[in-house]
Amino acid sequence: MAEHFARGEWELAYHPRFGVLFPTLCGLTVKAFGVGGDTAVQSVAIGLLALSAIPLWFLTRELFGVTVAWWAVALLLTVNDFTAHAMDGIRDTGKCLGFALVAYGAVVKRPLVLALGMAVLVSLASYLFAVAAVLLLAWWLYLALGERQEQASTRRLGLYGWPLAGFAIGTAAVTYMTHAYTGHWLPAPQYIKLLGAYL
Amino acid sequence: MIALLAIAALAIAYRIKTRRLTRAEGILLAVFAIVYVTIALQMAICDHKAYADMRYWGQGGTVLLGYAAWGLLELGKAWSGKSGLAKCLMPAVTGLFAVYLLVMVFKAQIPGSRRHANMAACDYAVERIRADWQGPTADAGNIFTIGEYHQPNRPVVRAHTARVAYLLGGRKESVLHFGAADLPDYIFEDRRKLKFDGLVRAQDYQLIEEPEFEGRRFAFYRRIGEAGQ
Repeated sequence: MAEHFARGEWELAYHPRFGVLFPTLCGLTVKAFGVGGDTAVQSVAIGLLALSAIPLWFLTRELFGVTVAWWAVALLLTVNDFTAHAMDGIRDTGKCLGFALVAYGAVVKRPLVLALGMAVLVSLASYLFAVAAVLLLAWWLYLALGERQEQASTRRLGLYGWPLAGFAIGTAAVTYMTHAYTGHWLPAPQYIKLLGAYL
Repeated sequence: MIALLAIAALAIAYRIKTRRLTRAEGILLAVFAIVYVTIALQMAICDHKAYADMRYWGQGGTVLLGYAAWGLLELGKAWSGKSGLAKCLMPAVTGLFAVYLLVMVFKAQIPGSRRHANMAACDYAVERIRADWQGPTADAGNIFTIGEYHQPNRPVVRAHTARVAYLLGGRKESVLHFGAADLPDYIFEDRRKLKFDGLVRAQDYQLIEEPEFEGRRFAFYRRIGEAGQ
């Protein structure tokens, strides 16, 4: 897919099953560095795993201190499931990044980090659209229940709005792609089957 | 990963019991719970399944690695109060991590390892099939289905790794989605894992050879009547 992307053969560069983020990053890697598709997918998968160490370190430092944070990162980078996925060049390491960003953003109430996590999750894998949607609703519910703690309205707007923006950007990308391939304005192909009678 | 999640679960239980769980940790655990419950519900509703590969479960555990690390360090501390041997614990575990990392990075180069055998078999399969195939490099027209990504490239290959098809410039088989339109032109598979069925039938394939790599026997088949002959 990455090589098709680099050649501009868009029909074969994407598929609704695989989201848009990973094929795009791999395609850009082939285009930019002139490497083969297998090198590109491995590089991107390893890069996504390495990037997830950053939010995980900050998250763990926030909760348990610096020593535990370094050990958590060591575990992340040596767990066989994750390293095998990175070496195999599959997009699953991007989920580590998305979940770590969302968890860190929620714990320290950083809406931009949360937004980035939402965008990564939604654009990475079709089944993560529902996960991100539920996370966004839960985040809003959590904010609404603790509303009195937040005084400044600008900050309150950011706390509600930025995660929605991240979610919307990811959703727009996957919905456009799904429509281009199937003709349905839906964020993931499994909803075509699920909503079949109503479409 | 399962072992680490188990350690994390014990650490969480211990923190709840000793009333050390903070509000921020509550948010983290809520994120984890939402991720897992939503994935499980989707599997049940969309796929009517209660089980999925670790690929779909493991990554959510990323957010709990802090608990696993904390639990391991607490165990180390508890043990260090009782044993002089524990003074060596941290350097020993760090050393083990370093060795493990080296093995992970270089295991494809370690003779006798499974990955090494897989790579050697892959290189051999690519060379043999490339020399044998005389058919078209692509089918006419693209087939699109929502269920599976599909390229028109030929030959169609079933192998122990998708890398064989990729390096050949062909495509891996997707018989489940495309049926007879995607029957493999070649099969190069671990002998013990090879299975024929009603669609990919043994009588349609000719056994070319059974090469061995690092003690593992592979089976190399060519489809009878295809352009490879």
